[in-house]
Parts: sequence; structure tokens; C-alpha cells
Amino acid sequence: MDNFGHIPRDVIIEILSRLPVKSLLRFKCVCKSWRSIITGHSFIYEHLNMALVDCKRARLLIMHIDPHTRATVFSLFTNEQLKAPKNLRFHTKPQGHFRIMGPCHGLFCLYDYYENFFLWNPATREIKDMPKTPIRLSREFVHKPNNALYGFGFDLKTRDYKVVKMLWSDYKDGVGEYRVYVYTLSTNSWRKIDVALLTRVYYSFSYYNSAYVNGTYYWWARLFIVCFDISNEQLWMIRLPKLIFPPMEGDVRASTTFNEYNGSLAVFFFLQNETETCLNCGHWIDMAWQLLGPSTLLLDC
Amino acid sequence: MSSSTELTEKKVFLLKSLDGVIFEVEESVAVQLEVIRELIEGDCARPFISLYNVTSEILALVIEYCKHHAETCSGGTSATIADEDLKTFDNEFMNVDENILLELCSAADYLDIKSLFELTCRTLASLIKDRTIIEVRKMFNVENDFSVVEEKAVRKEFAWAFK
Repeated sequence: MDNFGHIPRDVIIEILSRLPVKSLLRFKCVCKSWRSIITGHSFIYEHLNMALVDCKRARLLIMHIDPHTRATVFSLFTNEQLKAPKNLRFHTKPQGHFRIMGPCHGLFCLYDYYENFFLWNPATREIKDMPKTPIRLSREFVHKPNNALYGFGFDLKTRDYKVVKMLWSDYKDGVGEYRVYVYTLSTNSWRKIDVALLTRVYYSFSYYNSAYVNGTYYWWARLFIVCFDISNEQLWMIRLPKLIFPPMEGDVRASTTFNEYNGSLAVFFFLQNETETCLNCGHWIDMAWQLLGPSTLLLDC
Repeated sequence: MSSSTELTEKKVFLLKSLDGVIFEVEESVAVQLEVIRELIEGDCARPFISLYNVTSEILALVIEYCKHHAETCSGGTSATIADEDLKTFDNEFMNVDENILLELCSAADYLDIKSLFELTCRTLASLIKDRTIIEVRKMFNVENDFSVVEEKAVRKEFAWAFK
């Protein structure tokens, strides 16, 4: 039987959804009805959405290794002065350094050199070990850091988190192969998916640049941006027009960055003219690139 | 809205509380109660409306809130002054006993007054944020239906939140 005193259930839900995570974790102990609300999928989703709308202040997450314990420590800076970080402990011993994907709808996805994957919720301090890819891979697909690429995003249709993993074999005699796997949090499992992409694109992926924006994961691949629709699990490509994006090689490409800008994908890059170097931005809106020059970017700051 | 409504004189509604007290309110106040606005728009509004879930004590407060909001919004003052005024009013309005606050919140939900519902929910949330489990149970009048073992397990799961 419901146990809500004299207050309607809907009202309780609305009050709870305005509480910080720490209070909610405690209030799971109030009674079974409260616990079932707080741990329910739709409540978690609505609570997160409310927090995202509410949270206008930028935060900075820094990962470092404690020199004494060798443990990975995450410091979250919540103010502009970068003072007084809040340390978020991570107790699993990583093999080598972590790489971080996210935040995406409140979660981070971390993986180490040996492909141990973790999902991390800094608000509840929960860490989930993800299973290894179950499919046995042939020798050509043995993981090498430069033969694998990952993405982490949120399926807006099913409200589920997914990790996508692309592997490709060494390129021999003009032939190369690739495999794509998707991990889904709700089933806690990996599965292989069949998607088509020009094989040669795999050999031009840039490891510096990738981003999740609004239901799609993006990777930089020289003259293209490879896109993965998290819901439909489809890959496609956007070509970068040379007029907007000048050829970028070596260090210049490393200083280029992807991000979300006003809800769409934006590529930030430096352009050099005779006198100075300026930050420019290509903004992907309505299936077309719009160039935002330095003056526009300054005005929006 | 048709122009004919502007020409008619100020409409008055009678709202009857759970305990039978009748309140007279102008249309500008009554329409802030979404349940009544829908009746008016559907042309189903009778001049006499019974509100079965709200006591006279709470209904008086609800009407005070709606009246102030209606007057401030139509008062002709600039938007920023009106905003400031409403903020001050809302803060003072929330300075009531927490049981009243809970009832106001339920009433705002039942009568569908969005701004009052948001205000009371936010106030209640900040009120209980740091409270203990026992205090919250008492305030919301809910029974602990966990066994000792079950409660211990739930507490252990996120022990850091209790520090």
C-alpha cells in the first residue's frame, strides 16, 4: 500500500525533484514509497533535467594521480577562481591512465589502456564496471590504442546510455576491416552492429577530437566528421568544406576542438592572417556549416 | 477572447471551501486557478464553485496570493518593479508554519496554480534538505515500513550521504 501520509504522491514527487542528490540518497530511508519514487527511472530523468536547466555555472573536472597512493583523484572546481576543489575519490585501480568521455546527462565514461570501462556518476559517487566486449576478436583486431575508437552518449528516445566502440584491423594490401559494438546500460551488455563506413575513413580518425552533442557522437577524421546517431545506431559523415575549414595538419589540428555551442556541434579552430591568429568557429546548423568569426564569438562570451 | 468580454462588467465568482466558507473573488483572481480558468473557457463556470479539497484557512491564503499577483501584474508598474515586489511578497508569504506550507502546496496542485506550486515546492525542498530521516517522517506523516535490517542496508548503500 502507498504510504504518503496526507500529501498526494504527485506533490511528493515534485518536492523531491527539487532536492539535491545527497538529500535524496538519505530520503530513500524514509519509507518504501519514497524509495521507489527516488530510484524510479522517470524520477531520475526528470531530476537530472531540472538540475541541467538550473545549473548555469561552469565546472571544471581535473583528473590527477595522487603521488603518494598512486590513486586516481578527481577534483571538481565549482567556482570561477578555481579555489577549494572537491575531491571525488575513485577506488578502482586503473591500468595506466584513464581517458574520460562525458559528462553526458550526468555520467562520465572512463576507460583505461586495457579497455576496462567504467561508468561514473559523480553525484551519487557510484561506479559501475562495464563488461568486456564478449565477442572474441581475431588477431587482426587485437586492441591497439590507435586501432580503436570510442564514443559515449545518451539515447534520447529510450533514455538509455550507450557506449560505441569501433575497432579496425591493420591495413594490409589495400584491405582493412572494421567492427562496431554498442554497449547499452539498461541491458549491461555489448552487441555487434552492422554499419557501413568507408574503410579508409578509419585510418584518418583523430584521437584529439570527439564530442557528444544532442543525441549524436562526433569524431574528427581529416576532411570529415564522422557522426554516430546514438538512438538509430547509424553512422554517417559530414564533409568539411575547405573554404571554411582550411587544411589542418599536425599541431594545428591538435589545437582544434569540438564542442556543443547553443545546442549544436561547433568546431573551434585558429585561423592565421598576416597580423594575428584568431579563433573561429564552424557551427553545424540545419545540415549546413555557418562560420562564426572572432567578433561573433567575443560578443557571445 | 472575444471583444464582448471586455465590455461586460467585472464578473464575480463564489468559491466554497471544504468546511463550507464562501469566498467572493473577481474573475482576474479566479482565472489564476487553472481549474477555474478551464471551466470559464469551456463556458461551464457557474458563479458558485465548490472546492472539495481545500479548507477555508488555506483557501483564504490562496486567494490572498492570487489577488496580490493579479494586482501587481495589472498595476501598470514596470516589469522589473513588479518582479521585485512579487519576490518580496512571495518570500514573506512563505514565512508560515510548515504544515500550512504543505497544505498550500497540495492546494496549489489541486487548484493548478503553477507559480504557487513551484514556490511552495521549492520552499519545502530547501526546508527539508538537511533534515534527518526521523524529522522528515514526522513532517510528512509517513510510517517507517522498513524492517531494521532493510533500513540498515539502505543506509549502508550510501553511507557518505548521512555524514
